[in-house]
Amino acid sequence: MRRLLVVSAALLMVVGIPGVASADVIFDQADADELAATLTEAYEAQNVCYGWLITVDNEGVPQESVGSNFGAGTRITQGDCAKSVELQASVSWTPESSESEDSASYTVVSTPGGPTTEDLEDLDLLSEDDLTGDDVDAAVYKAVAALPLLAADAGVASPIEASPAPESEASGAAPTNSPGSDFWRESGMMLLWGALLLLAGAVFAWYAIKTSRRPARRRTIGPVQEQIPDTVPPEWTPAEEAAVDPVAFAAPDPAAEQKSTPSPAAEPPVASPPAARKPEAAPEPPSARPKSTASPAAEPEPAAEPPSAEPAEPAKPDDGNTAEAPPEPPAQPAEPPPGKPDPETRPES
Amino acid sequence: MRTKLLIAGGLGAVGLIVLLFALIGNHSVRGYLDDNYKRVSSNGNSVVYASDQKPTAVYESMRSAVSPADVQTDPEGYFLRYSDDIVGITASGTGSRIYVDDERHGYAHWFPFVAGVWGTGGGLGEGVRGGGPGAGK
Repeated sequence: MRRLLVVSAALLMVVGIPGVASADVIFDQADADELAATLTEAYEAQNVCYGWLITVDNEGVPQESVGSNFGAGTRITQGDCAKSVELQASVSWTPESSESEDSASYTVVSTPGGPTTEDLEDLDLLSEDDLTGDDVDAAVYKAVAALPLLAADAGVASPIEASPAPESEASGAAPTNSPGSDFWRESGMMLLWGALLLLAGAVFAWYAIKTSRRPARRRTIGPVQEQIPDTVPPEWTPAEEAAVDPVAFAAPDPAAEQKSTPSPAAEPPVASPPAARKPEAAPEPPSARPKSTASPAAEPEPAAEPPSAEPAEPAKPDDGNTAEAPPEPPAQPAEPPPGKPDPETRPES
Repeated sequence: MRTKLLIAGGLGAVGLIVLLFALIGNHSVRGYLDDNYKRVSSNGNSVVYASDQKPTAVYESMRSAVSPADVQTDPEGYFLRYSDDIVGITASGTGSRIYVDDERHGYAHWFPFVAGVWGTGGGLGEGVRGGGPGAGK
């Protein structure tokens, strides 16, 4: 007997508890009741049933939010409706640990005809993102409250007229939370994009001008230094001269040779081949052998050269010539600056 | 060089055009209403316009022309909040009536529909607009 009483009490509790059809998965109970009351007023004015059915997969737990002009928790199918418009939505909230994203979809079901899903979409009041977001209750509320307006526009119901309430009803009430600037809300993105495009154009123009003005640089590897060997082999012949002027090379002009003879100060000492050495009586100046006449075979014999005791020995073009040649005129001294006489031309005191 | 400068000039020109459109565009809901609807009456900052279009068509036109900060709906009309104005669009015969008021008067005029949402003094609806269940990601 006692067990029977316990079972009966448990059954009563199960029956008494509201089922999953309660509106608490989307709305607070007060908000669901308020929305149902709004739909009741519309139903009385238009004789069209309005309601909502939101099925939610709340991390694997099926829940739903139901309401209509018959009250929160009551579908329009539970009443007697010749015309009905219902918002039906399906929402899937996945766990935070799940890789799959939240998803949602909605439709407007009108019987026998009336507003469509596209009509509700055009109002931009409800979106799939709204259904998966944190403000799903506000979005669903606005969408459901707009169903009578859509029904009137679709011609299945008469419009409900309204007029402003007297201000005395709102005594002490005031708007809060400034909505922000209309200008920035309307044109903020356009301003941002325009500024970005303008900046991009300016930067690109600067880049184009900068790159066009840069000269084509040649890669320089540094100054090429002439490397003069310390010793010149007797068989060495400059290829350029032999190829360019073979006649002159074969019979050089002694005067020209004299000109081409470098000065001892400028020419490092060149070791003469052993066969070209002269007796000690006529010592060879260290820089007497020009590079252009280094080859014994092409060595001309100057006319002023007395016959040598060693005919086989190649004549030295600078022998004798160097001594007999008139001394090179001294380099023209630099013009002294005005007011500062040259020390060499300064009269001796 | 010339091609690059042409591209840069094109970018700058498009940017300038976008900036001009942004600056010259219609940002005033009152200006838009004056330009597109027939004024019926006015009382200070409160002006009433009439339209042959149904409320939903008027609402969509206004929302496209001047984006509101927030919208509230009710079987009796659409209510749009702007930075300084509140607009109510209601049915009137086969057409619509458009009411524009400054923020304070508009809030008072449409108090039964926006109370607790855009300001103080209302108890209904505050829970709905106060945030969601937070169950989603």
